[in-house]
Amino acid sequence: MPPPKLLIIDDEEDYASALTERLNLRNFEAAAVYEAKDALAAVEINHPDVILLDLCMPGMEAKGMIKAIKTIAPQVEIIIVSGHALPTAEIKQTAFDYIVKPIEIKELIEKINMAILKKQGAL
Amino acid sequence: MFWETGIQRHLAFIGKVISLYTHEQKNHLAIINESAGLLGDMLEFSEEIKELPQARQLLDIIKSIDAQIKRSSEMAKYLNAFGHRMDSPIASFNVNDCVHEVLVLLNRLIAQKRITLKTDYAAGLPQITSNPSRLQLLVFMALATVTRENTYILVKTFNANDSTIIRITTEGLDAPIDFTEQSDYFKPARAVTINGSEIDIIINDEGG
Repeated sequence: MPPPKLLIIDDEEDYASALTERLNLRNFEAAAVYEAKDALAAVEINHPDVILLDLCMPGMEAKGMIKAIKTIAPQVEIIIVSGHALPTAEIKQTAFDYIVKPIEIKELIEKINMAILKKQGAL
Repeated sequence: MFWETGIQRHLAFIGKVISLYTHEQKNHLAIINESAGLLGDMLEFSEEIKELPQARQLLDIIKSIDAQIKRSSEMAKYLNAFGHRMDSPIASFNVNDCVHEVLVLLNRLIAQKRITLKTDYAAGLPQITSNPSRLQLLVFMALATVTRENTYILVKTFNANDSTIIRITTEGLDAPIDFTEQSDYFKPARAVTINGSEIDIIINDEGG
């Protein structure tokens, strides 16, 4: 069975690249994009199972981004990653879950695994 | 008015800067967290690195970094909430959370004054609509009146006569501090009453 594909969308490059490596060490196939404008193309190319989406990226409005992602990849599950601000009720409805930075890797992996189960229809 | 519109705008500005700063701080902590985490992963997943003579020391350093990240992240969380308390002069909030938050942020001041702080938060206090930032200022002012070092302070919350009260007292001391002389200090704030060694901050619900 191929490893689950993850896409990290976050403008903090050092954070996103280190997290990508950490997830790859844990048998995921993770990739990262650092600019909102590259996110949709990466979704189309990589076909991720789960996306870790930074809630506050320059030039990105989270609600619109989630909608655009879901239009081109309706099955993908999105986990919102945020510094502080909790997602609005509307975003909570469209995203699978959210997690607050700095992330506990175990907690993140639990959420990713749950998102994968949901995508597979097992949840 | 104790709380002028101009002051409120100024506070909202300060609050905004604080919340923006803490957001950035969280991002910085996230980078440190993932970088230290990756170092830890390398030690855990690579047999070659695991065998290094300094591996144990490296793990200890990573644990120390992790502990400081958690500590700083916790403070950033409280500071961010503190900033948002200034967003609006009227908001719905939990009094216990609001008091606890400012006490955590004043922890260093409390330690500098060698105050032993005890808290007794009443369970199940109703959510209240009032000015949370003003409440925090009054808690700070009350603690600032304590000039004697090595003092025992009890901060207690409770409900009485449809109001929520925050009582700050030195009652447990052999010679309790008499706050009566400090009355003028609190004069603009009608929500404060002083009764000997007790300062009561009385919060009435201003919601509709």
